[in-house]
Formats: sequence, C-alpha cells, structure tokens
Amino acid sequence: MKPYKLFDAEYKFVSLIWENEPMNSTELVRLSFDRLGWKKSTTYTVLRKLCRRGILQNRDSIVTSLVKREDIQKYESEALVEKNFDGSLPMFLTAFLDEKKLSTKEAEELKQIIEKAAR
Amino acid sequence: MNTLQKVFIAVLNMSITASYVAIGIMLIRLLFLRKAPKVFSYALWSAVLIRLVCPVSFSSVFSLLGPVSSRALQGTGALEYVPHDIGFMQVPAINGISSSLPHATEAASVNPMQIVMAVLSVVWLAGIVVLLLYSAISYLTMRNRIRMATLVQDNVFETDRIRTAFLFGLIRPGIYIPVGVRESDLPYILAHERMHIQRRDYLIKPLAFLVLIVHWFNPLMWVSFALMSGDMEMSCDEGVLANMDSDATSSYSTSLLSLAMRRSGLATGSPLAFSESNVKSRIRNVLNYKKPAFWTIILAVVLTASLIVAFTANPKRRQAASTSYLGYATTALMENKTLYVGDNSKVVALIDAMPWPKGTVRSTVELQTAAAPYGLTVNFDLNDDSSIKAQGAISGDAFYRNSIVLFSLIDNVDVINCKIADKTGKYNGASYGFTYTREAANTAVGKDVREFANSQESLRNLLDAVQKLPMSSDTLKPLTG
Repeated sequence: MKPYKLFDAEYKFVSLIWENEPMNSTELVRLSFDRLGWKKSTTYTVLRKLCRRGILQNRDSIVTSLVKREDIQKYESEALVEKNFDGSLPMFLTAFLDEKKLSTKEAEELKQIIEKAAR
Repeated sequence: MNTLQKVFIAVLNMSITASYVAIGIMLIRLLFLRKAPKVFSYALWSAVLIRLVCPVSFSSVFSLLGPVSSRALQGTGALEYVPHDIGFMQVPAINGISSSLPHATEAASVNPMQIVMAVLSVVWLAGIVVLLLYSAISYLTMRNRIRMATLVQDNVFETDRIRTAFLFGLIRPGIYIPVGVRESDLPYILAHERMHIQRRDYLIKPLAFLVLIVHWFNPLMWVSFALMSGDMEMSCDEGVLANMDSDATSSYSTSLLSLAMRRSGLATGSPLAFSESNVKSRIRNVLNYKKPAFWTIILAVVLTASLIVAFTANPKRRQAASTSYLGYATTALMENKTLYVGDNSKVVALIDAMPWPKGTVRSTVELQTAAAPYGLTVNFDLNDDSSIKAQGAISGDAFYRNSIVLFSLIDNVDVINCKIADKTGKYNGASYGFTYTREAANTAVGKDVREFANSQESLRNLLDAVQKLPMSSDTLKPLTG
C-alpha cells in the first residue's frame, strides 16, 4: 500500500486524533481551536476531506483514525507550492517588484558581505 | 459630458500632478536621501498619495510645482492640465500641445475629441474593474491557502503552503510563516512583522494599491509603488534594528538571507501580504544602518515635513496681484498672452477673462489656423437683450472693444468674427455678428495694438482707450448664410 501524503496542517490535525481517539467531534472542534487556532468550519472541512480519503472516520459524531502513523508521510514543502499558483495577489506585480529568485552565487556573495560586516 | 468623463479628467489631472511630485521625490531620494534613514524616503511618498486622491489643494508660495503647473482652475484649488471641457474645444489642446489631437471638423456632428474622451474613460473604468476583480480573486485564493495554517503563538500561524513570511488580514492581521523556519531566525522574522503591525503598514500598502488601481494607466505610479514598497520594507528593518543591540545587525541580515533562500521559485508579492522584496538592497541597508544622531533626526524630520508640504501645495499665482481693471482680469490676460491663435486653451482663457455683455453666454470658439489670414470666431448665445439693446437692435460696442483687446493679445490673429445667436426669440432666432480685421483695429487705436500688450500698465491704457472709442457701427446686422 502506498503511503498517504498529508499537508503539515493535516498531519497535525490527524495527530490530535491519534492521541485522543476515539473522540467526540465537538471535543475535536474545541481541541483544534486550542491547539491549531482553527475555526469550527475549518475543522469540519478538513475532517470531511480526510474522511473522504479514507484516513479518518466520523460515525455518529465519533471520530477515529483508519490509518496508522507509520503509513503517513508529509509532503515535501517544496512540492506544495506549484509554480503557476504561487503569487497570491497580482503575479505581474510580483514580477514588477523585482522579486527574483536569488541565485546560489548571489546568496554566496551576500553571505560574504554579511560575514565581512560582522568582523 | 457625463459624470464618468468628468471623474476621468479629474483623475487624469491628479495623475499628472502626482507624476511631477513623484519625479521630484525620485530625484530627492537619489541626490540627498541615499544615506539617510529610509523612513524619510518612505514618508515623502505620502505627498504622491495625497496628490493622487485629492483633486484640490491649498496654495502656498513654498510650492515646488511652480515651474510645471498649468493653469489652476480659478478659485477651485485644483490644477488642470487637461481642460475639463476638452471634448468641446474646436481645436483641443493640452498645455499648448495641439498638433497631435484631432481637430473638430465641420462635417462631423460630434467633436472627435469628445468621442476620444468617452472611449478613454470607458477603457479606464474597465481597467479598474479588471484589476479589482483580479485582486479580489487573488485575495480569496490566498485566504483559502492559509486557512489551514496552524497556531504557533498569539497571532502567529505556520503553514507549509507558503514560502515566505507575511502579514494577512486588515482588521486584526495575523503573522503567517512557512513551516520549518529556523529557530534562530524566528525572533527576527516576528520582530519585522510586528514592526509592520505597529506602523500600520498592513493598511497603508493596500490603500496605496487601491489608489494605484485607479491610476493604473500611469507607469510612473507603478514605479512609485515599487519604490515606496522598498522604502517601506527598509524603514521597517531600520525600526527593528533601532530596538535591538548593535550586534544584532549581522544575525538579522542572515535571517533575511535564509528566508529569501527558502523561496526557491517565484515569490509571493501580494500587496495585501507582506513579503520580502529586493533582499539584496535590504541586506545592504541593514548592514549600513547606524543609529542616527539626534540632531540628524531633527534636521531630517524638518526637511521631510517641509518637502511634503511643498509637494502638496499648489503654486501661488501671484493671487494678491491678480487684478482686474474695468471688468477685465488683467493678470489672466497677460498670463495668457500668446503668439498663436492656434493655442486653444490660452485663447479661450483670454476670452473668458473679459467682460461680455450681460445676457450673453460664450459657447464654442472656432479657430481658422490652416492658412493665413488666421481667424478666430467666438460664438455667443443671447439669452437676454436688455443690456445690449440700442435703438431696437443689438449693440455691437462691447464686442468691438473686446475684439481690439484680443488683437492686442493674440499676436498672429488676422480676423475676428463674433456671432451672437438669438435665443430670446425677439430677433427671430437669427444670428447676428460682424467680422473685424487687424487693420481696422490698428486704425481705430492709431497704432499697432500689439504694442499695448507689453505690460499690465500699457494694457490698462488700451482698455481705457477702447472705452472712449467712437464706434463706427452701433448695431449688429443679421448674418446671411
């Protein structure tokens, strides 16, 4: 079986359930608010999504996990931010504001400048 | 002219004024503020912002816009480069440039310039709508992406779906950081974002962006926005460093660098979110930062404040000396004295600076500038004949007098026609008028009338002289054809 891949937030959420299952969904909402800072609607949206993927189960407001911790992997964070879906607001503006990718050479240069100044 | 076009022309004029201010600020930044704390450069941009949203301003002799200002609309405090009645001019002119603008043709029922302005104002509005929609979609997309961000502490959230740290939200902004920020970088990143919150930058930047959307057609405003954003970031960095020990600079700049390197691909640069911009120049700025001496701050504060005032003020138009004589606004007449009858805006300004008989309203002004003899035709509507009635007909005296004054102030006009269209119905709705030549005007005053236009004093002499002239023809004849 191929491992399930989860976002960082989803992983943290499922971790709450591993630690406390079986748990009441109302209790889960409260815990998500305290530990993750989530609104009720966010918690239910994520819960529904994970149930559909067969990772969690919500039966009669009792939430349990269907997958063990070992079978789960986190996404590499680099893979998450698709190239054509990066900029929030105006991407043309981003380009315009000259937020270019820093090349390795440039980064090295800057590092040296910083080190020089520190001395 | 509809409201949209009026608003568009007002925006256009604000944009032009703001462009001059922006160029001035760019020069000052380059020449004097390179080494100064960036907070002063940042503050200066407020003058551009004010110019972009405020159509009117106060007048002061300290204004820096004297050399570039066009005519100030009398008594309104607004600067006008593009005349508000441009669509109705026979030969449209912007600041004396008329060759490139389409002229009115007799065959067309509508002045082409009127159509051009109508089209441009619709394009302008469409651009705003597109940009607003795009911004709204981007905002919602971003909100959706960070909805799952998890709490770190207070108002700090982390998520693996962003690459760089920023603020999000307008009422109670949250600090959003990428997952896996190095422990050693976190205090600096948070200090930077908290400084943005403290300075209300998260409100200023969206506001500036909104104004930019309204002025989207002006490339100088895009450049200004980019420079302002840079100044905002750098002055924020300086604010953070001012609160820290002096040996924090290298760790702070290392944090900037490491956060910048995390962004492997494109960066997020939402004006509604705070992110890194121009890391290189920021790191240089941080490393060069020294806590400025007290007197330097005082000096810079005074200088910046006076510059903002000077950029915000409209130039004073020797208003005190703006005199009128016998009902003629002599200052305005001298200011709009022109060599060419083709200079539409000046010619119209001259006509409007003269007293015309009560009951008449100036309508269109036509210019015959294709070939000599160069002609000027002023059309009037007669709504009430009580003040110019003489012997049961319309008296032409006032029109003759003003024509002589126009010959004096418009160097190359050869012929002046006045047409008075009857709107009272007492004269069968016919048009009355006359044609006056320069020779006749010279003969009437006994010398070249242009000699009177040398100074306000000599102009007053002319005004005196024309009042006393015996008029050859006392009443106007109906025009044929």
